[in-house]
Amino acid sequence: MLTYLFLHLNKWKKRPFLYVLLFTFPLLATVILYPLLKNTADETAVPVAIVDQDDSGYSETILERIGNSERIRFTVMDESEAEEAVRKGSMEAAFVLEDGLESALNEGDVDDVITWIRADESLFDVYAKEAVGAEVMRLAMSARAGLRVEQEGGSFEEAFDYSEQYWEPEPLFQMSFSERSPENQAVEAPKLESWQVLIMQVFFLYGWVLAIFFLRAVQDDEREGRLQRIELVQQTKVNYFISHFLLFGIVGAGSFLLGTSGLFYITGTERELVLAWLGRGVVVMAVTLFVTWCLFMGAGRKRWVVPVLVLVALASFMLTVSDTGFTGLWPHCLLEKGG
Amino acid sequence: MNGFSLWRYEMRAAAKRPAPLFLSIILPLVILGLVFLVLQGFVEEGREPVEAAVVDEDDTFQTNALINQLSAEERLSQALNLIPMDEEQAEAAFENGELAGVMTIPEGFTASLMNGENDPIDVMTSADDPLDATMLEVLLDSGANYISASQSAVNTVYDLHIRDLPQDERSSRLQETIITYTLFALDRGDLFSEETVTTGASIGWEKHAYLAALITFLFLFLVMYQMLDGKKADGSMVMRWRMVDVTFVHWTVVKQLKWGLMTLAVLELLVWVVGRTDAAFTSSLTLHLSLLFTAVWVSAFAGFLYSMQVPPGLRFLFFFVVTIVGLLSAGAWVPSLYLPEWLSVEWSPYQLTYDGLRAGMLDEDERGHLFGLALWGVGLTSLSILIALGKEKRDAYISILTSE
Repeated sequence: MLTYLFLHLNKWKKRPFLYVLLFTFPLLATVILYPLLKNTADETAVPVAIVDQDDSGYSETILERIGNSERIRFTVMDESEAEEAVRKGSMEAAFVLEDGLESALNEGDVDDVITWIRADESLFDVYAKEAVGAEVMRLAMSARAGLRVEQEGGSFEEAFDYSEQYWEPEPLFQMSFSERSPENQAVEAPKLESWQVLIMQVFFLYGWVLAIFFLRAVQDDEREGRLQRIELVQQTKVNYFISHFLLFGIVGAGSFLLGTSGLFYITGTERELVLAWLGRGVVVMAVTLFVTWCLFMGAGRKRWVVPVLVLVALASFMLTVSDTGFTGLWPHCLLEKGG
Repeated sequence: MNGFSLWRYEMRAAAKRPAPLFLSIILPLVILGLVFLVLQGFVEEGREPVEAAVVDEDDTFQTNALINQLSAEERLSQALNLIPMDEEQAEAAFENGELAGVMTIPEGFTASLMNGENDPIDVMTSADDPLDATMLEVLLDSGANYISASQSAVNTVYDLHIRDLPQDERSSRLQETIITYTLFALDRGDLFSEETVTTGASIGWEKHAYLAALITFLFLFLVMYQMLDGKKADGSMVMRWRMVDVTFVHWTVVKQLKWGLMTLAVLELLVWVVGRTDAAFTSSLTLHLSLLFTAVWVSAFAGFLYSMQVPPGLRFLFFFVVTIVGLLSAGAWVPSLYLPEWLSVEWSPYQLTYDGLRAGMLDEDERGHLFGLALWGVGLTSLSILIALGKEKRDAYISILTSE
């Protein structure tokens, strides 16, 4: 048995770098690409220009507060510059805090205090509008409370500051979101991010296809007469096939598990989730590889079987990911249901 | 002459065994088709308002005003359908998967709001419907800021003025304040006066989508084709060619030429097909030169990997990963406007390719990218020829430079 294992391993020894690279490719790709993609995703934002025509305490406060907005990159510009940037398409939109903003808000008048310059193609600037609008409205409401208290004989500043203190340390009205599965509403079930599931599907496809290509070792042995010689000397090919099957499983499942474990490690996924997904992954992979091997042997180890199996693997991946699979029996589908 | 024979042999092989070419066109088409289906599904799903339930256990004037405020606001009401329900109803509907989320206002919420405590409202979102759940979060979050603003003002007026009024007047004044301030906060659209400018240089979403599909298809095609077509010839075949002085250098050059020609044909075809849609290219010498130089550099890149004798499978993986990073950085999928600045590399051949096609679509006679593309093409071609020559020399075969 060991002899046959070494028969396969010896082939790898000829080009160790190549085989190690192929085997660890998912892991390497994760380690190299993850930091790049994560930084890109974290820093992706909508660029928006902001123009301060009022140059007052209020407008400075607004600029300071919107500076912390997530997913929106505000850049302070002058008006002509901002309009040109929107026209050129280097800014999604521009907001001009008009001259007289502070006095208008203090008088309880909020109409047209901001000019919103956008292009026909602007799409995400409504989020920036919400962010700017919320800050202006916060000041407007505080000023309005100040005005009302002032009318009743109190102090404007005192009421203004009193209203503002409701925002510290947290705003008055907040929502806390929790994600629940409809089947089990009582507990918040930990869940993999959808992109993590997608990457896992890709690694599953990779491991599967790598294993399918390993089937060509049998075809090579058969073509070059090694298999016939083994049968002649040993009177049986069983040991040869058992050892090939073992290595076939190790190649496919190993590469998949290595990549997936690397992904979970680098993203700091919870232990409970890791164990559940890896467990499920091993079972689905084992069954898939067993069925693949049986199909290969059953189809007489013909040359066309390898490309056909690769196409089946591709179909399983693509139909599951695009959610158009006609059946839930694709291995990728079974893997996904683990979540 | 011998090189020409090899070229004829390669082209004959391509015609007699069309499977690699066929698969390299069909598979990217299928992939793009599926991506299109998924995206279309998202867009259609996004058009319908998100259904969510609100369970009001406090049931006071303020909570009713709050629900009205959330559901009556113009932008929110287009995207969100907030249905009042009791706890059991909401639970059952959530279990049946009819709702993207359930918002529960706990008993005593109004009192806590008036005290200035900030007990958050719990919103349970559906794990089975992540798109709608995210939409619900975004919508409710944006509404929450306006409610905070009006409620802070209401509390201020109550604490500094209404509280001191006689008992019978208090309630009516409070209600009046709430209504006025809520309506005031709701009218936030009045804050803005909108100006729309026409853009000259922006490519627009529709054209961007066509360009993204075109450029993705192009690279998927070549990444696959160079793998399926780039298998090393049998040893005996190589020996026979060597007998007539056809060396690995010839193979490298001929493979690159063949891939380049196929890429150029595919590119011209794609540009012609896209030209039938609304996102037409303007045919110009600059555009066709861009296409030619693009075909030269991408095939030179594949030829470079071939000359390094990287096995086809590994070549595919390497080319694929480099292409993903290259296209992402060039802003082929997410426009570079939204991406961090450090990601975009002006001299990257992917960026130059994108710029070339973009200029063609915008009818700009911008030629800055041509030089860069040509430089990449010539550089990579020279490199692959040098590597192939090095291999010939190492293997101690007669170098084509010394052969007669």
